Amino acid sequence: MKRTMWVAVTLLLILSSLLVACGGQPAAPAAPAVEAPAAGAPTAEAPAVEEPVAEAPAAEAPAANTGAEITVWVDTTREAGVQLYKTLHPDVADLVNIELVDRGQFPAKVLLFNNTGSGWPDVVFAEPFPLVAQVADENHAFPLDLKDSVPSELINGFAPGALDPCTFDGHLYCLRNDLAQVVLWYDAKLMEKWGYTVPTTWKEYEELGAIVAKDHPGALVGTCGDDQCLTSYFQGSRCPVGQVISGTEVRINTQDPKCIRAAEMLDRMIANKSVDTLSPFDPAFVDKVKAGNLLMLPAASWYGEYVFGGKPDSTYYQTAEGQLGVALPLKWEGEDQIFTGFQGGSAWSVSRHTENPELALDVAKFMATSHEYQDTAVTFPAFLPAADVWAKTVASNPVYAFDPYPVLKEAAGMMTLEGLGNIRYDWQSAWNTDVIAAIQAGDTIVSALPKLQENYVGLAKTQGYDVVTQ
Amino acid sequence: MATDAGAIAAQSSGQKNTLKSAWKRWGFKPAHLLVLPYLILLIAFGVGPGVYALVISFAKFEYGKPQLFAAGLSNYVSAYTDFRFLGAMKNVGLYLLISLPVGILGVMFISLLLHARHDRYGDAMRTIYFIPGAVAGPTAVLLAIFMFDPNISPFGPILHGMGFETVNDVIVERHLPVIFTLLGVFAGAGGWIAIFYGALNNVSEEVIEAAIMDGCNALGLAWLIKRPLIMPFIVYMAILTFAGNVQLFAEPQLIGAANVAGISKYWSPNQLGYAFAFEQANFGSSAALSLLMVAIGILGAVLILSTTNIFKAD
Repeated sequence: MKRTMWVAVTLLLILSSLLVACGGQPAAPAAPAVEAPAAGAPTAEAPAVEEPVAEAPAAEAPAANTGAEITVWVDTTREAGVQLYKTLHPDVADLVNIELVDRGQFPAKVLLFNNTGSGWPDVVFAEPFPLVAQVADENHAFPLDLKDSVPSELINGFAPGALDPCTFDGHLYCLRNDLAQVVLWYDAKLMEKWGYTVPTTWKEYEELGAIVAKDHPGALVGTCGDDQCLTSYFQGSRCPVGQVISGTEVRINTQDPKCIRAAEMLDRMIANKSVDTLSPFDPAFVDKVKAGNLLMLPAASWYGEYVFGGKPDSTYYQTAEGQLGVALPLKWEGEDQIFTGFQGGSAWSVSRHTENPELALDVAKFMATSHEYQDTAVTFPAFLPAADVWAKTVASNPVYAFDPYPVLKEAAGMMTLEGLGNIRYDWQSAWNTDVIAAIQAGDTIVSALPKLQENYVGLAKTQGYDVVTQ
Repeated sequence: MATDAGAIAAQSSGQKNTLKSAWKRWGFKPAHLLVLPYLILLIAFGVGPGVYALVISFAKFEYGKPQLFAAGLSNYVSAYTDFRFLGAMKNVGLYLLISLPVGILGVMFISLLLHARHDRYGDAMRTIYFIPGAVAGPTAVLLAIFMFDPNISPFGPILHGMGFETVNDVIVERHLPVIFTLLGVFAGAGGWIAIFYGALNNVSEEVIEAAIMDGCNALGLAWLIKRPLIMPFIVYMAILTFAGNVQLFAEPQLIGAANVAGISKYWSPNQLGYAFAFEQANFGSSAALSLLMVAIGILGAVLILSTTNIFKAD
């Protein structure tokens, strides 16, 4: 019995040492690879590995191969746009492969590809932060600096500040597809019927909410049920949940008066039931909207076409009868400037590993700036020449009470990165775990802020940030 | 030349002899070949990755590439002092505390009950219990999300009766250990019931008859006669369930992804390990944490085995 044991153990040891030997082989050259990349890797990578953030010369790389295929990672909403590119460019259509992906996996996948030295997508559609911010760090070293490869007249065409979320230490790592500026949507018919005026400040908003809750029980002026609550109410207030000081330093202070004022307002409005605690996409919330209970909703610009819609398959309004009004974002008491947040506003980034930078860049430029695609997109184009034509698309939608474009365009200039900037940590999940779960358990937002602080600080540190908490 | 050839031949025949004697001396039997396929798989998918993790856990990662043995113990320190580490360990500890006794006692109870009826009805019920096992882990989670939604679940009236109104009231972080226990029992109990039932069928008729002759009632028969005889299987289940439940990953990951109210992405240690690797690009800490989970699993097995002495069959 004992002898058999020993035999088994010996055999196991021999085999596992063999395995180590095998496993060691690919791992061994990996260490010097930091200086000189493995032979199989595209040559464009060589300087990028040495100094991944500072340099991104893939565009001039000799390895550029105009016949190489590229892979474009998009979501279902953007798939049609890439298809359109293929239709309009039949000569390269065969070279463009479309892959539908969950872009939340983007940074993780890049790490895997970095380890295997191949497989990177060439063009990716993703939010500037945290996603592009994460793949821009030295471990991921993924995006190509577009500053020199995109003509300046194209760059100047973007809305003022639109490319700020894509700019990291002076490098331009993505082109914004759209702006998702938060505005105040409202039901114009209901507003008129009930005889209210559209608020211009958060104070008026709260007061109107209290009146609505009393006079029309069940009616809502907003909701705080997911991370859009953070961008709708706190980001415009410049609550420092991720204030970028430098590439290595962030300021997080959820006890800042700019956080407390938004939290206290929402706590009062949740208590008087004028603000709901469901996600705006929760079926139960959608039912309330369909039942005509939503008077106002501070939400992103894409809500107009994509959520309210006014088409039979739209989420909120299935009919278009001029019922949707839009107003500028709300102003905080005692401030003379309006600031607003943004929910999404994803962007196109190009891989610095791409073998066909010319084509990859062309696709990214087409998606972000072309009239063919952007003029009729569901989102507000970040590229203003396209946005001005897009204005006609929205103006022709009979769901709006009036042309929403002037308001949306003005709001586009009010977006702020002051409290929440290009950070690498996942600010959305922590918000949901700590704040939304607390609200739904009947606690106040104010009472949840200390835990949120702890969580954000911890997350920021794991991403290598020094954290200032004052 | 010829002498050389002769020498080689003699040498090789000598080698054959020593090989043969070694074969004999070490007690190899043809039966050992039957273990070989398992051994190969164990090494390829168990020991191998384990050794790889051990190597990686001492590696420093720069620009996403490992520098072997450059990290010392720093990966271990950063993994075990992470601000989410204790919370995750507490979560999984609580889950084990609930799921292990419920799972083992529940399966024991049902199997003994079934075997008391030891007829076609018992056989049929065993098969019925086995069916949910066909729903693999992740699918069971998706199913569970519907089952725990008071507004669409067939158990809606019960959930409403317990004071729950929406799925967000049911699936909250402090309910997770119970929810995962229910899930685990639903999906896993059937297989164990079949195994226990088979083991009970092997209990010799004479023993049972003798016990009945001695005036043993059904309860005594189950607890005093049958249970001790299937004890090795119970211990086996305890070891596997413990090791499996420590490694909880898919369930909290999926429930967290599906539920907006926000179950932490770092609920279980394995989720934290995943975050180390794929959010922070720190494969070293991820490996260090994984090794800890393996160590806990092995420690659990050793503890159970050494305290029960159950496999001392021969």
